[in-house]
Amino acid sequence: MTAFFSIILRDCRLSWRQGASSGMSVAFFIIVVSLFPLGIGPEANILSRVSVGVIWVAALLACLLSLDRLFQADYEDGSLDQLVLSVMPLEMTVLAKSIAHWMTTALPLIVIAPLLSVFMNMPAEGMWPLLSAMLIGTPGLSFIGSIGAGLTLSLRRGGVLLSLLVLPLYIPFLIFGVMAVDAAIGGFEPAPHLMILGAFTLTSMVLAPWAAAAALRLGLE
Amino acid sequence: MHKFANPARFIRLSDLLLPWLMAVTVILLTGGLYMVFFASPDDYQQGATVRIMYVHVPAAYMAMLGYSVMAVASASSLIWKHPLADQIARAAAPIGAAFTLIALITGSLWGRPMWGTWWVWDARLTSVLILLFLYLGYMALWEAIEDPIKAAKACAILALVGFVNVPIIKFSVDWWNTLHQPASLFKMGGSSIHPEMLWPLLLMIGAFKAYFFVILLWRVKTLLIGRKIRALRMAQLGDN
Amino acid sequence: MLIQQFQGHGLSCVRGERLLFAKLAFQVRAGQLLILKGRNGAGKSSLLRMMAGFLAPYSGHFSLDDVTNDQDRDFFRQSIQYLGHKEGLKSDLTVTENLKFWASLNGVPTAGERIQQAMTQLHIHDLADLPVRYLSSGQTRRTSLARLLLRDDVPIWLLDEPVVGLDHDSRDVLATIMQSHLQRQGIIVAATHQDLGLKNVQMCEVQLDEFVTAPLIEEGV
Repeated sequence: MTAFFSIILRDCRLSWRQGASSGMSVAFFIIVVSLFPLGIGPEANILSRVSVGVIWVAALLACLLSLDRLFQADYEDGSLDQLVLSVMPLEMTVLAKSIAHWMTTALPLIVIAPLLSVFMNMPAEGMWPLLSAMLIGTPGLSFIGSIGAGLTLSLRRGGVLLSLLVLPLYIPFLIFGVMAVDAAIGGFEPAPHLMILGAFTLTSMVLAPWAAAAALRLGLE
Repeated sequence: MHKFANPARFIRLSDLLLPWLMAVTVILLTGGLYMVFFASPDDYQQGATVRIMYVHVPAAYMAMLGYSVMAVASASSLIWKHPLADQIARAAAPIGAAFTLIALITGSLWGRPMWGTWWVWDARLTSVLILLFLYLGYMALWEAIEDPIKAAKACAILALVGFVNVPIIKFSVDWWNTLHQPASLFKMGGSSIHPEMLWPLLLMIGAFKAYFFVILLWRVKTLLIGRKIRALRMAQLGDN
Repeated sequence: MLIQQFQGHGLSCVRGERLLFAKLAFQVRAGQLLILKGRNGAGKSSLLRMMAGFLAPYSGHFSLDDVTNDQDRDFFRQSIQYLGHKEGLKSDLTVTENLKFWASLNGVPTAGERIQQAMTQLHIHDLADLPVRYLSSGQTRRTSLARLLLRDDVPIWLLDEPVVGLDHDSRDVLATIMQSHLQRQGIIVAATHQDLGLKNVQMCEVQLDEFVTAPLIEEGV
């Protein structure tokens, strides 16, 4: 277990030292969301109607943006070799790295999301559901993303391919993430949607590390 | 690893099978098309446009069959390391993708008189569109990895991940659709289908299926021959 | 040191669609150094990566005493340390942080003490709190060698071109730690062109050029 936490700690520390990566995702998130009012006009009603969807889509893209570095950096400097050879099962290593990815990428997005929901004139009843939905759903994005990152490990220009592979798999998270918030805004109970979202995240937590580990072993051959 | 796989035997077998399969395709297609155009009734609501169904439904069916063939072949490639399975999975992808595209285009053409627009975010069409994205990702990964052995394994992993996700995506899209749209204007399969329409439809499905396997065998054969050519080229390089 | 002998039987290696070597066999006993020789591209690195378990042999297998690599992968992983071209160090972490992470990843007991010892032995003690990015290539190499010392209970060392990029002093250090590993009845496999500067050790050699064959044509095609 110490090994597991030491991987999370190391990745968070690296991201902190490099600083730019988390900051860049947040900046990207903000810019993408602010493009929408410019694209569809400043009318408050329309913005309010699309706000939840826009925030979720921007969050998906921001998570995706940093995925290609998930294993790439370790691959380039040879750390991945050492991670694979270590006593820890590779599946657990992948899980730890995905959790670290979530903490360094998605968590800052969740912190900034309330601000953006004000930008987008999102009804206030949606705020807590939005935060809980993101908190529940975004770990799944990192888990599923690890498969794509593993598959595109040794490829030049893997980034574009990565989005083609991963985005279709993100669709269920998007659908239920948005619906939970929409339900709350419409005066319904968001809990069922959040539970389904949680089910997706848990399933991906169990299954994705296997696939990603298999892909990584292949990438190192 | 190559003990079971005998590409030469496969090529001989497919040479034997192909003419028969082609004959079956031609017979079913001729019969099917005749019935579609001359021996099936117009729909009381849709008129003659209902005939698009005879292409749309079999194509959608082949789109799913293609992905299933890919997934089963991928699984057997990962489990039994059968190199022929890799080639079958690889060959099935573009065929499945082409049928998916046909299903989308015919769906859109059919939707025009039905819904009054070319595209409606109907649950079925949306799922098929996402299936097309899955196919494209799979094919792009094949192209991106140069080493064919590695490419085969990576794609097999991707195909299986996709296969697990297809029902989840389908479920999500259905749910999304029922919440966002009033009941669909038109439902296939919900009402019982008239026997005079059922026969041409079954014939067309049979024809499409036979055609699918003709193309699949053909492509696998082509891929195997391509691999042999590469091996021979390399042998020649080695001799010099 | 538990391993008496490390063997390879009938090994072939395929990269891309090329057969690099075929029917290669080797045997190395406790306390012996095995040197892999051959021209560039003969597959020295591939053979080492195969021994480390990154690459599955196209045919053939390895054995540690009576255990083959198909029977017990974990046993192999725990008996082997691999040092490749790439150092496997994070340039944003300090020397101590890198070594600490690696020690906790592998569950090294009394890590703090051992790290101190290893750093003293490799003369990188003064660099302990410097980020790796500020180190010279010789110093970086020595930092990665420290990993070998942290887990001195691991019997088999696989070294890929260990002296490349090393200054004179570092070579002497490397020779010393290799010698003492062999004296402890460890096994070292090294791929190298150059003289390692070892004295009084039992050495054997595999010349990979002898196992190079015609390019692969699949049977039956």
